[in-house]
Amino acid sequence: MTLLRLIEVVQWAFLAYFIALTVSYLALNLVSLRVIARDADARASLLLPRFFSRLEPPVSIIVPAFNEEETIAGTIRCLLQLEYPELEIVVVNDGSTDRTLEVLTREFELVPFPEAYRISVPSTPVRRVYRSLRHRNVRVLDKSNGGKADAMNAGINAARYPLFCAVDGDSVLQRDSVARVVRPFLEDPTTIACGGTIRVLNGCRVVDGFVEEIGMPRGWIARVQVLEYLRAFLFGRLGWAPVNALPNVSGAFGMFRRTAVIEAGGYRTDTVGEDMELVLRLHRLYRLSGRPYRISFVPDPICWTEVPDTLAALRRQRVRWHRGLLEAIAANRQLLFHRRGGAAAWLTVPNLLFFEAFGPVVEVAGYLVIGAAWALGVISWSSFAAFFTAALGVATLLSANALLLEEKSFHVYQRPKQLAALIGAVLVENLGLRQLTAFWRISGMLSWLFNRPIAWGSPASAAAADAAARDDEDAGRAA
Amino acid sequence: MRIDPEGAPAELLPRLARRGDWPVPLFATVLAEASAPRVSEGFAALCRELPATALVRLLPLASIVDAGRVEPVVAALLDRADEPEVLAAALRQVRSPALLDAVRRAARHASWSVRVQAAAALGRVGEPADRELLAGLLRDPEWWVRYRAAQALAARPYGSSQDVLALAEASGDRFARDIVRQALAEVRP
Repeated sequence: MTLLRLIEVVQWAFLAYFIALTVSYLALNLVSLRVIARDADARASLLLPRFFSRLEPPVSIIVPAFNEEETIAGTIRCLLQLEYPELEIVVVNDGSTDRTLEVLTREFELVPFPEAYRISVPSTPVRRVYRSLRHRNVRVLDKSNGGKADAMNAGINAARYPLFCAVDGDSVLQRDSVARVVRPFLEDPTTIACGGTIRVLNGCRVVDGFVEEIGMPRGWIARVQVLEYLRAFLFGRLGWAPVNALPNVSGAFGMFRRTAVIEAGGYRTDTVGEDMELVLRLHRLYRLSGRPYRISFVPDPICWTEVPDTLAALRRQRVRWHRGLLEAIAANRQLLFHRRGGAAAWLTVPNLLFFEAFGPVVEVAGYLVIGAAWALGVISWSSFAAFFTAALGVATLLSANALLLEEKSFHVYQRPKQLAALIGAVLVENLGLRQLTAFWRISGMLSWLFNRPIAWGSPASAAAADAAARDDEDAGRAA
Repeated sequence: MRIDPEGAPAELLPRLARRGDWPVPLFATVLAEASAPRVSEGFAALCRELPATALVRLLPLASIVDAGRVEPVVAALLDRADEPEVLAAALRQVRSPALLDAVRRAARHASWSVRVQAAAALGRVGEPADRELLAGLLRDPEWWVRYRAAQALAARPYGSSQDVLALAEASGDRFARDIVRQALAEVRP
């Protein structure tokens, strides 16, 4: 085969891939537009004063904490203000080496509690359980370090209610977050998990632990992520929900039926993508056994989280996320194209594998091949330009559509300057940052392939890696 | 547009009974705005028409219905129903000592989902004579039954904390002792 022929074949392959990718994203967009339009009336009713019937199921909020002495008390105080009839808060002190437990003990008057701790899913040993004298619905588990997933498993063991929320220590919820995300469980008793839209906290004004004013991040790195999160949630998740094929419930905030997660074995502790791995496992177990279930999604913004605002922190995050994606797919590969797997097996997992997981490889290879072909004079400048224009054009269209979905639905960013910043982010993202992210994601893939320690191996190294990543993010914010 | 809360029960309750896809908790919020007598009338009418398995779905509405209207319905279900899910749903609504005999029978049911609700009901309406029955449930193979039995012992006048703990110790079951300690700490710090 001549070089020319090879390049021709490769070009056709890229074209086919590009068309398939575009069609899948556009399909998700169309479904999302329809869902948002259809649910507009229901969302309007949620703006009315809410009354609880007291028939709502009680919810356990599990908060894994590792070295959170600065923020943990404030986090718990905010959770205590959530508007929901019956909640309990289970803080899992995951072997913190700072004063996290001391702060909790002082701020919430913790006393030892004779918990008949029951091991439904494995976790590292719980040394002691405490309960707050001031807030009887707050308990603290003090355990040896095991990483976030392990801490969640310990929290699940101690949870007393049929539903639990997984909440990151740095997540900022809204007062009605639990009330919104519990709704699918009320509407459909086969619901086993539900996620909601996570928004970017950077630039927002937070007062007493709640977002009081929504703002736009100052830096372009964070602004681009506002757009990414809009894409990821407003069509990336919303598009999958109607066919019960949601690929993930964010670890920042999500609600699960406790018995379903216990039956599935809890969170895996040998992956950095424990949230996605759990959701794919639930799909696999329920689909393959033919049991009715639903994993739902509420498009309402229910949780706000800080995103990296330096390239170094963003790189670490994206390497970790991509590795987590591959680990989750590998652990649930049985689902791929399984005859009983339904939309999860025939749409979601293939999408994750061929477009999300291998997408960066194809993208970077495309740049290299087309660039090399142009440099060698095999393709013309106009073909080269057409390729890049098409690729960037579709990416820009998808981002613009995410903005449109946001404007038509929640209209969170109401000031013209904020909208202008987001439009600017559309351009900035596609002229450098997106390409850089592709390289980072390949790095994540290589770390998975060659089993390089990132948060792999011992739980202590996982926790240390998480702590180091958080420290770097904090340092980035302070700079 | 005006909302007619008093007219809501007559309109909504029959439809709620027919539509298995309508979520009861969300409709309870609407019905709660009507007066209890209005909701009770509609609820009582449905109880006469519906089979037990359909009625189970609406039983949670008992929280907004006159207690006097609910008790006969619950009593009838406890006496006649065989299905565990029906018995469990009915036991959740037991608020009167008049139903104790049925609750005691349910505490020996083969299904743990019935026993757990019976234990919880004994915590609401039980008598000191039910101490031994609850002590037996402390040794149940199902954790949730043991927990509810422990909570019942801790909450009702079954004796002082020492008496209740002694009861658990006498069982010779470490798990019974541990769960009673937890339940006592929850209500009697």
